[in-house]
Amino acid sequence: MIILDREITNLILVQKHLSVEEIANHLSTEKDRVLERIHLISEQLPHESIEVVNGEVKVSEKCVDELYASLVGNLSSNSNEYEVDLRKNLIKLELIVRNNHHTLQTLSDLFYVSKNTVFSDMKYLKEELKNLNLHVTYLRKDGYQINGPEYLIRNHLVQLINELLKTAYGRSCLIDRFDINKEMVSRIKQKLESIEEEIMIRLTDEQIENLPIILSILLQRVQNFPRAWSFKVERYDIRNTLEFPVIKKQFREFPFLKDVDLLYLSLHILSSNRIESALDFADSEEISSSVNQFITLLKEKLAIDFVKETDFKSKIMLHIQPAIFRNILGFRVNNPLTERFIKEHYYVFKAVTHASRKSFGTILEHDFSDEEIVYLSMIVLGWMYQTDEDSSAYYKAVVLCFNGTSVSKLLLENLKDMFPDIEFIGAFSFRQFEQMNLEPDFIFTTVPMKSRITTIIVPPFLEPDSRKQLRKVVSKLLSQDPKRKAKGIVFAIKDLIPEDKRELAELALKSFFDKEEEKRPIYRERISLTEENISVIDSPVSWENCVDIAFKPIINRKSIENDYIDKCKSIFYSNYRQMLIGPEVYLPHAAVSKESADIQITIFKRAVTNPDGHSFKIMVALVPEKTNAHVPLLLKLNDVFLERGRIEAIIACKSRKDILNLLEGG
Amino acid sequence: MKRVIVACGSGVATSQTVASKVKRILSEKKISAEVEAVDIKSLDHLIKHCDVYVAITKPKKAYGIPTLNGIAFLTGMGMDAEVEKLIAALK
Repeated sequence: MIILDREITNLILVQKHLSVEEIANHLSTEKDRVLERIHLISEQLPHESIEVVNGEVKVSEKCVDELYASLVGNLSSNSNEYEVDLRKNLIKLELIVRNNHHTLQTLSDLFYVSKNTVFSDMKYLKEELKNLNLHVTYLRKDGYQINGPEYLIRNHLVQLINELLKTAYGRSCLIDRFDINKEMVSRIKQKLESIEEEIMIRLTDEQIENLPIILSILLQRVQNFPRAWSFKVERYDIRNTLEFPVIKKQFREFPFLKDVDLLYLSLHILSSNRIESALDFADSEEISSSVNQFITLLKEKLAIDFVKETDFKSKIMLHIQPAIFRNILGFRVNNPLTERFIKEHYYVFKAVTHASRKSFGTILEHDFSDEEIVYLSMIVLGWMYQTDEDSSAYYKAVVLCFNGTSVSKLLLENLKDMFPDIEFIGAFSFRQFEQMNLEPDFIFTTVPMKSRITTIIVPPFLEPDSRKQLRKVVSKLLSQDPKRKAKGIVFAIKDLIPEDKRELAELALKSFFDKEEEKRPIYRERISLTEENISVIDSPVSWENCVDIAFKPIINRKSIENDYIDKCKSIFYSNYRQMLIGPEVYLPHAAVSKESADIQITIFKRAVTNPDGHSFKIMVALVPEKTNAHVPLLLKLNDVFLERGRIEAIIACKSRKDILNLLEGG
Repeated sequence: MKRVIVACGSGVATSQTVASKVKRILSEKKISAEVEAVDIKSLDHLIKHCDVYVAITKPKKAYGIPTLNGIAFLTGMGMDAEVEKLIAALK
């Protein structure tokens, strides 16, 4: 992906509603060039496309998924291969979750492929599942079924869901196919958050997003296959952990869950990656000494010392606890970075493999998988990059990561290394960041997010090419922003300016660059009024109806739905005293993520009386837009309304054209 | 640099307009300050770093910094007095 494509993709992902002109202005390039690149980016997407309607860029949620995957390099180059794998996985899920009579015909109807294709898929699946001790059987009366120990079937089910959730649009695919409704997902999410609070842990953002989907599908399996089953965890008495009763309490509302099912659900929560924990793990002494040994062996093998070794140990402990659970229970972990990491950091991987085998061998049922070792190695490598040096940085940034501690830690240290001018405050989950009061200059994030802070999307693993491109993106951002430019210049010559004058120098430079920036068309007024935006109502209107009447033309233009009006009314009727845009000019509105703003100025020829007994004749109904494109117009209207005699003149106008003329300052 | 925070219920229209207006006034008077519009829910978080609070809704508690009446900027009534208070607070 060339740098311009990367920048365009980044802008579309972060803002979604930009016009081609705005992108061109932002990237200081020609509109035609942007259009050409957008078409090329769109062509590379396997299914979705970027639409450009009247110069506005429009992307669907699925398109966002694909754009993100293309940005971070996860997009399968062979979409046909992807489709085949997806279908095979979905067939397995179908057989595991739904207790229907599945035949070649029903499966062929379900997946829109021929019976021959399903037959060859089933042949492949039989072989594949045999290795997992699971069997695909076919009986005329039962159809196709996957049989084997329930524990292994459920583990495979969770593994399949996890794999699908990692793909570009696996989530939407699972939600559609298994009728997972939003209420169920948010109910389970709330339960997980209550569990987090009660047992004082914090799961990673990824887990809190994925577990509700996994558990929803798992609940369907339990409900559809109500057979008796049992399993035994030799090493740990899960029932007697502090966590189990809490988890059990949260899920007791599902009457079909037996004790063994609740135990199984608990295992998934206990083996989920976490970023904070206030609790000690069962047998923590044994683990603590193993972690000590692990660190000592690493130091010997890599011939280094770790800075802040106690913090390093806590980080390893936090990760190792659920990892041990996963190992003991035979849960596989997905780590899409495994191959790339081993290729690029083979010696670290080998050292961690050696140290973990020696240190955790007595606790584990079997050796850690390569995926787990890579997660551990990422924490180790991240720490190896960390230094005690004081920062000479003058910009501040945070790294926000969806995937948990190991990915974010390595990414953070890589970014620190790449951008010595930036002080990285730390790596956080999105949920942690929301609760913190941080105001960095930049956010480096692994998934798209909305923020008024400059946001840069980065792949979780930085390969040489992505590093090169990222450096260019950041340097361009630094050179474009007046505040950052001023900050950088003052920092560079700080020794030549007395300390008490540095802030002033920065301000003067910022104002200088601001003036330059204001010349750019992106700052011009983006909404203009036409006669269509003006209504004149001659008939009497009640206070209760005035908002509905003011918004009616906007509804007719289909800029909003009725639920927006209901929201506006509920806010306006309790806060009307503050919702003004001029003396006795009301401004009903609500916060909404609309792609374009709309406005309607209503003149009530017969005054409307508010509950305080004051009458008014103008109301401005507003649908705001995410990037505040409506603000310059509001400011202009406020100036007009504050001009002496202007409101009276507007009310006295005989035509919408005259009103428009006065509103335009004529 | 001194900071002015403007807060209203949603942070999307009224506070944005007042913030733009305050920025314009400060720029005309050649006073440098950062002006930011936020929704009322974010106020407690962000006000710690601010020097002046321009309130659109009636403040429910004292924040220990000069607090101005934001409605005056929209209606023009009492605006001069609020502008004076603003300038005094930023000097």
